[in-house]
Amino acid sequence: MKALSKKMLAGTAVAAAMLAGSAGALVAQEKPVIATVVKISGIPWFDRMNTGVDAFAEANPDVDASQSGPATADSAQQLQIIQDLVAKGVNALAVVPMDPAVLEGTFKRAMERGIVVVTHEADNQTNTNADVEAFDNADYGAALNERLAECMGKEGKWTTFVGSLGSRTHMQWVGAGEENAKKYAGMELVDPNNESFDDANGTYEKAKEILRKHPDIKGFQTSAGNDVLGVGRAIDEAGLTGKVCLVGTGLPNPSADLLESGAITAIGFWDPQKAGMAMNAVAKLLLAKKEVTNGLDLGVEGYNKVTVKKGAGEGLLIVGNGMVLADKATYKEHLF
Amino acid sequence: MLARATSEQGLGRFLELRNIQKWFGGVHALRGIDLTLQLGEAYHLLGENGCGKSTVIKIMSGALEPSAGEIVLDGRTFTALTPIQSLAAGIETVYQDLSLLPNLTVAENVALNEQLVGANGRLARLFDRSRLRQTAERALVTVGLPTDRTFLNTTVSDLPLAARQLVAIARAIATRAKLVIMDEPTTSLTRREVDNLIRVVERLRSENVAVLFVTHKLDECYRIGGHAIVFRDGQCVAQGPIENYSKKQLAELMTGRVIDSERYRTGKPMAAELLNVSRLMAAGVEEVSFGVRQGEILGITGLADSGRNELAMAIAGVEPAGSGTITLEGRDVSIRRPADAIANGIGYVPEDRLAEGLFLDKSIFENEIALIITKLSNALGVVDKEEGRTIAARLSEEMRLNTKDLDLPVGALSGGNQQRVLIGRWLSIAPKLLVLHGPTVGVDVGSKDTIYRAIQSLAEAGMGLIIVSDDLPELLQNADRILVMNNGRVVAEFDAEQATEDQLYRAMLTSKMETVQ
Amino acid sequence: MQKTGGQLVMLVAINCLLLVLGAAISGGSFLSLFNLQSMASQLPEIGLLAIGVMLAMCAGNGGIDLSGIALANLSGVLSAVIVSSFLSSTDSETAFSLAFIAGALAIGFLGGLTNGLLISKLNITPILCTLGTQMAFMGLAVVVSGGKAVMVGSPALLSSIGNDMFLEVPISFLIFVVVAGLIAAALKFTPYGLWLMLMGTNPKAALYAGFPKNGVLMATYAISGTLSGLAGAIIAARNVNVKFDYGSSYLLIAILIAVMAGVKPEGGYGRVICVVLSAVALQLMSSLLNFGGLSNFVRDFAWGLLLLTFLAVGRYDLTGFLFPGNRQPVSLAPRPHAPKRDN
Repeated sequence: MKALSKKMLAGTAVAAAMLAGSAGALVAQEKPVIATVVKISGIPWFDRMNTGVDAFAEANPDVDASQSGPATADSAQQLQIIQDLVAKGVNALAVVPMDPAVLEGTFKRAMERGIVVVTHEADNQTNTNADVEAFDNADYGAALNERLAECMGKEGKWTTFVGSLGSRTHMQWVGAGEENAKKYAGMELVDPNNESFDDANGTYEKAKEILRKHPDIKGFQTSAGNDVLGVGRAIDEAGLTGKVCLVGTGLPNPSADLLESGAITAIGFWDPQKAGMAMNAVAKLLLAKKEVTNGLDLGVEGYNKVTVKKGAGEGLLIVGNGMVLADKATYKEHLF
Repeated sequence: MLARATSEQGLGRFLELRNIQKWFGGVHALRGIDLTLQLGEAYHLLGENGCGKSTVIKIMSGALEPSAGEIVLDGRTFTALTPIQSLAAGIETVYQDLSLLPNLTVAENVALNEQLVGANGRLARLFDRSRLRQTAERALVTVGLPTDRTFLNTTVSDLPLAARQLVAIARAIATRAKLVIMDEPTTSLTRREVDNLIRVVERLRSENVAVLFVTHKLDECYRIGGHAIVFRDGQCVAQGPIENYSKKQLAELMTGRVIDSERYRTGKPMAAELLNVSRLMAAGVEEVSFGVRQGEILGITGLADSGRNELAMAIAGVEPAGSGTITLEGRDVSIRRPADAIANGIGYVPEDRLAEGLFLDKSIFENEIALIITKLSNALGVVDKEEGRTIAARLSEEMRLNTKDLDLPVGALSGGNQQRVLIGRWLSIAPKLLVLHGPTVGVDVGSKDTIYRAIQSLAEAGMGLIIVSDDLPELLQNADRILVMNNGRVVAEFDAEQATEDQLYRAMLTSKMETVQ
Repeated sequence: MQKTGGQLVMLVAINCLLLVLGAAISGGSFLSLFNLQSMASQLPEIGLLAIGVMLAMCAGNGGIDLSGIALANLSGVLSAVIVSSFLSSTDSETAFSLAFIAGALAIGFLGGLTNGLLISKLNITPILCTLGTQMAFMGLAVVVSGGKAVMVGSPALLSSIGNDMFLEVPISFLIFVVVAGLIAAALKFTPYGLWLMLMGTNPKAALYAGFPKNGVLMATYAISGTLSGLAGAIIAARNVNVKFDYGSSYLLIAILIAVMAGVKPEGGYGRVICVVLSAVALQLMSSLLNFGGLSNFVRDFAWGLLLLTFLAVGRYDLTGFLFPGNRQPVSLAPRPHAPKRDN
């Protein structure tokens, strides 16, 4: 017994040392640090964003750019990470908030400390220097819905999925979608705003439920990155491919199979890689005290001629034109 | 079923322990034990809890290794035994919990050990069913159990305890054992069943098997005969034919104190009536009425299903009565829960002190003051722990606990000391009536003595006591009157000074047979 | 037997180690006043929940409180909605703050009392009961808030609880420490404390000894609920908004803290000081890893490692190994088994 506990103590010490070592020596940095914090780590969407952050870091050796994020979809966890980064004293934060309201207080403290705050997918964030959007959310939501309506022949029952009721952008998209659908008297919205919490399996189960409850449903408009996958799988399994339409936000690569089979009608997206680069670019500009003006070229594809409006608070709202709608025919042009 | 004798019958030295020492951490559990066990003899290992009996048994059966010393088994010398070596040499142990496999049949239980030992512990081995039956039949004959197919295929959990006990012994001898160790075999047996067991032991002895009993019941030792081995504090203080020692001497050797095991009852009950139970009915109790005077000790006994347990629990509020009245000091009291009983001054020392009485992980101090927590707290709601310690120390002394360290967890104490802690706790509220349910079950002689003396002094102080027990000598030694219950009713009342065990026993059984007829 | 000293020593050692490690990898900024204050203000909301879980566990019989964070959110949301309807956070700042806090505490108390009643009177297993109430509380919060964040506002008193310092210590942390101290005192000095721990060790013996079992259970869960309400108020104070689904990860973290603090899940033993230190240790480790820029998954791994280490200490008396002088002797008396009755 004693030998075993000795081993455990030794093992723990080694592990601790490894952790400490791998954390690296973060001595006082000369380069400005831009910390990107995403909603959840480890899902394809934000993995893609990470590639953009890394690319930006490579292209801009005069700044230190990296990405982190919570392991679970919990705004409290994201809050903790941001607070620790503020305490650590980073120069700029580029955040995709899980829940903008929860972060207001911390952002305020950060800005008081002189930290530049840039957000994405949070156009209602008050305490931010700039919020970067890939497109106008209402336009996007309407475009998704229009594509859905086209597939549905402008009539039939349809429903919507969102990441969570607190997801600002998702609610805007489905809200705009609802508005759009009002044009078509034949389209009937049932059981709207199903929450997926970005869990593909949970979405799949929920979709199955809905297919059971409304056997005559004709369309789904989904929001979170994984939703198309879950709903598509359910449609496929139920053998309803071609009979039920599905349009939602999703990435080409993960959605490839279901696009090919036809379970997914079309996906809408913007390249999170470009969004990540755009956020960091804006952060770098603001750190250098440069102005972001209407029509500015951020040097990122899709953000070559941005529209600058007044944001919800004192900061700016920077809107790009990076919306993409792809279907079976066209998705191969954007493989990620 | 003959064991191989190494020499003439009765002279075969089977097992010798030479200067066996055992340390547990810093505690010297066995301080140089020298023992010789011969085939065909019966031995009684006597001693208080904690004297080292279990340790030496475990060393014999290979469950523990000695720290020093030698074991000479069948002529070969070992420094330690493994369980398989011990089994292979013919040492079998029947523990108090029998260690039977309840979901298997009689035949399987009896013969399993033999097959396991034969396989030397290997698992992948065909199960030899016909050999199983043969082995089982042989062994069951020796213990006097039936050997027909039906019985062999009976699931063990369906058998009554006495039958299971015999099955366990059958299993022990099925492997051609040479030494059968039995740990407290008669604790839960009736008199008739004990008689049967004694016959079995005789048969074993005649087949040259040595039997070693670990027991507290001195009366039975004399009936079985053989040698007494007395341990005290890790040493063997006496070894010899049991006829050479009187009960008093044995008790003295075991405890190091002079114990008088004659009648304990000293005082006389007072005139005033304390408790009156009238037409009490509960599950298992049919219209029982009786009274207890101040300073009186009433014994209540009966077979296990006679309703005596339910009666005790009804008075204590654990399983409240359905109807009937309980009157305490002239006032009718309603007892629906234990708290009611306590509030009225009725204490209850439960049957299972571990599961129902003590907080094993907590200290002696906390266990002793468990009933007076509110009494110890002041207006602000702060518990006066200093006062509590004083009280707990006083109670521990009154009950003569063998430790002064009140912070020891109760789980570390011996059974006898644990029971004393529990009784001490009830003294803290100075109850008017104390109900003791099996107060000395699994308790060693020394603790029994202390508990009996405590009971007597409580009675002398005016407390009324009810002892519910199946230990007939206990009741005869301590009570004024004894009520015998059967089928939920009181069927007989005896004056404890005049009655005999036989009378009590017959009363417990007679009515049952009569109703059957 | 209780390895009281051992657990406490290990926790203090771990905390010191983490502080040193943090200083090492951050060139000292980990120990800066700002960061210490930042970490200290992240702690209270989950620390309070952990104490609630500890109390429920000590009560025994599979005691646990899974509804903590859901009740905290409900307290914040419901209190905000109710108080906002007749007071304004900008006009009558003090009154609003006091009313809000009182409301949150009251709702927490009632929620906890509900748990207590269901568990003691209806005999529902605590894990099932609090699982049910967790969903009920969350559902109610969704309904009341319409699924959206509810703005509480920043009236002076509330805001200072959330953000200000007193002698350089965040006020929310001070509140946490004071509350923890009160509960520790209650456990040590009052009858409730004794009853709770004894009951947790052996519920049957507690019944036979006439303990007010139902009262103790209701009080325990009511206190746990009030702590949740307080946590909800503090969350509101810091974040200005309250939402029905905030901190969903807190549930398991609170349980982790309690187990790491040496609280016996089967009941009967737990120390508040150990819970506090355990919460601090987890907080330090979490911030440490964030400082090091390590993924959150590493944090989960690190916490798991820490938990296993603690369980190993508890099992093998590591302190005896580290500090031979304090080696505890093995008890001699064999564990007696109760003589079997066959009825």
